[in-house]
Amino acid sequence: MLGYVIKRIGLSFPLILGVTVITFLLTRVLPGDPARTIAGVNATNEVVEQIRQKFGLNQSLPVQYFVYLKDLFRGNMGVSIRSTKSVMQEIMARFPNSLSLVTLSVACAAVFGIVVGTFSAIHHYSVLDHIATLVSLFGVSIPIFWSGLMLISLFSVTLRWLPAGGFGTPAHFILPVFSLSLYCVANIMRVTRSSVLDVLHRPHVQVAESKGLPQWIVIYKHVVRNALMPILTIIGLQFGSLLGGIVLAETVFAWPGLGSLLMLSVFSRDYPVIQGIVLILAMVVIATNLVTDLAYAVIDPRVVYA
Amino acid sequence: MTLLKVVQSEVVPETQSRLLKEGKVMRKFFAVLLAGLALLLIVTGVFAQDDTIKIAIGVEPDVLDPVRQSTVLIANIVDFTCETLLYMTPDSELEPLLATSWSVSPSGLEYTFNIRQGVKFHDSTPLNAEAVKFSFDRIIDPNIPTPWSGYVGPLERVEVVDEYIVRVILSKPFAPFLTGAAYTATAIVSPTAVRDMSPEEFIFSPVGTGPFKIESYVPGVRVVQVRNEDYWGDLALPKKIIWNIVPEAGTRLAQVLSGDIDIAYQISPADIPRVEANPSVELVSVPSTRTMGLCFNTSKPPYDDKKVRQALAHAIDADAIAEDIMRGAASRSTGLLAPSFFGYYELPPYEYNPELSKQLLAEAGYPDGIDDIAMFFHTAGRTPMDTEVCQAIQAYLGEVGVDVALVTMDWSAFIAALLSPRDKSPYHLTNLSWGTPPDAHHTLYTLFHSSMHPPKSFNLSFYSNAEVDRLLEEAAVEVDRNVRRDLYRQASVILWEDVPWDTLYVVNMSLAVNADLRDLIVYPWEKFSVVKSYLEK
Repeated sequence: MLGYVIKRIGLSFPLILGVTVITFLLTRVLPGDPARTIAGVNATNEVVEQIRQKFGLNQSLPVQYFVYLKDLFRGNMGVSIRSTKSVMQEIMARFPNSLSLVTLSVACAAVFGIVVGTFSAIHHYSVLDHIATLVSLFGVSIPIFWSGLMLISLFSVTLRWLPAGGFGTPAHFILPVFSLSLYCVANIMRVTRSSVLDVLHRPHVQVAESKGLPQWIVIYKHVVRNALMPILTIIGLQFGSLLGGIVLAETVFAWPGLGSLLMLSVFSRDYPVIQGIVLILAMVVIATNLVTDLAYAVIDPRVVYA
Repeated sequence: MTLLKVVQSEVVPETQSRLLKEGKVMRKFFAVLLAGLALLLIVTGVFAQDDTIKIAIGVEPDVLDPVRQSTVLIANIVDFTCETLLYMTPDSELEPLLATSWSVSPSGLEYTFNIRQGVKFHDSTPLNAEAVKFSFDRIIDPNIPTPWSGYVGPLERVEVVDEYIVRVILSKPFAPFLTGAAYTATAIVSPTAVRDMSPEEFIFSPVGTGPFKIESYVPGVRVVQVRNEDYWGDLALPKKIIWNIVPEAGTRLAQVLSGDIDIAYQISPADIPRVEANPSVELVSVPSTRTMGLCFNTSKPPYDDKKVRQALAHAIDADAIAEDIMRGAASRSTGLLAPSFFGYYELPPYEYNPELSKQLLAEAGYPDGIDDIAMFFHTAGRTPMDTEVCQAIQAYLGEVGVDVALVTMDWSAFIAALLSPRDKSPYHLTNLSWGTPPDAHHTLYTLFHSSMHPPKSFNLSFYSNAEVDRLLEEAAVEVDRNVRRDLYRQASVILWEDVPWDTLYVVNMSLAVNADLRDLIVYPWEKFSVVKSYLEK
């Protein structure tokens, strides 16, 4: 197992290197000039040139990339052009906020998705099954910025129950978590439903039922555990895709996470911060995939990593 | 509930009774959930204190150092903490602030300021001539990239005459200097704080003499200012100002409508009806110094022809745009500058007249309109409704036979494209919203002097006119305000006739404000003050 983990981590290095090349190139392909954008329209050309020199933006692209890579190997992600703070500092101030938001949202979506998905499978083609499918379809189809604004409009403006965006208290979590989990619950629910449905008709379930086990034991021990593999895969994937989805949710809910920082950095062409955020998110996705794979072995003793 | 009881009293099959038990558990669960929720609401409701003013802004500060910040909104925050030598009233008059009096030498090269005595910075360092010199030196320090060096002009050096007298020496006369001395970038900061704090620390918690100190700044969340209890003047009324960073305009509006905050900055004109329909919120919409205009690239035919430009100016119904698209949060331009400017001169607008427009185009040699498609570069989301306004302009120009292709870009890409040199300039038309402190120099010199062509600066029309150059140069160094005003009048008349830039409307600054908030001061240069504001109970 340990050997497998080390091998996987080793294999992720070329992947991360690829991510750095792609983000570096994509930021440079974007039209726009960080120095002018950050200095503003009132700044003289001398000041703009000064900023360019300070951040090495006037060097050739290969030189810029190798300087970036060299610093990266020393654990230095560079300095934000906008705030002149270190990228590490900027990211670390916000990463926990995004991580808690996404983790909580995926957790809510997973609990809800698995429970309702299992229910739908057991009572398939019932009215409730159809309603669940419809609602989940609705959730996955609504863009987050719209559902977010609608939730704010309902719960903050009309009912005045919850704060309209912002950060600081547990109450501030409710709307963004709801909006993000609404977005990803559908996939979890649908995979659960089909996976459970598939297991439900296997002989071992019939055996368990006929030996008189209570239904919840049959479902929990014999059906859901066997159906869990694809569900786990989809939860891992949702985690990755939500890390992308936070850009919108964080902007709408004024949430100080990596998503809103990424948005801000793209608009001001703050190359070092964009590169830093994408790198961190890529590493989180890689780590999530690894954890998902390892979890297979935990839930299914037949899976062995050597 | 009653139904459940009835069912319970009867003999029921086992499965149903299990359902009932589950129902009870569920009800308990919901009760706990609701109680928790209520607790959260109480906790969050607690920090609604009356002597705190909460403001939602869309921009996250780059830095809070007066010389380095680059947006007017952030300058607004800094103003409460760091004060300048002079104060500009909403009517653009200069009044004493940290300087009690000042004088200009007849040559226009030397400005002498008497510094207010007995003033202390937030770190207890006394304010004196040395501190003023220190702060002005920061603007011309080549190691500090400041966007604002243009506002102090050719500043050569600053001399300390005695403890409370300071003299600023320019290398050549620069008439708008005093306007600069009232602008955030020239705010006086504590020299001890700059020396003792690390640069990273100082740029986010500058130390000035203002009515509020920076208490904390949490990136992406909020800036908090607390009242300076040792302020040299009258104490501010609010004890605390909280600037919440809320990028999405819809969310800012929701926050003010729900009573979470007291002021929502920059409300979209589309949301004005919602604000007006709500009695607990008031719309404050004030003409700013920002003018939106259509810029013709005079380096590209046929836009080098004055007649073509005049024709297109007659083709656009700017009144309708201000009224219908901007929902009244804008007013038709009546001159090159907004009326609050020093150097504003009223001129009759180009009236909307498509027939006249077609006639002028025919006279210019284009009886069937212009064949070549006009590339219209514009940015989205920078000023209210900018995309919709550009689409309207496209439609109006189409009416007189000018096909326009809109090229939409985000701000960074937009200015990079605009600042291409003449031979690579990609646009025929562009929209430009321009707002500066209210001295004509800052707008007219930058937009129309022939030395300011891109890539150097923002004369985006590539306009060159020796007479206008001369008038703008003279006005920049003229000390006599009446003579200056007349020079700007002459320049305005020529520019109005030449229309390199068809000014369409003056943009309002729109705030949605808690209806109980009193004594909010709004300045035309897109700033406001809550120093003397309070919430009426």
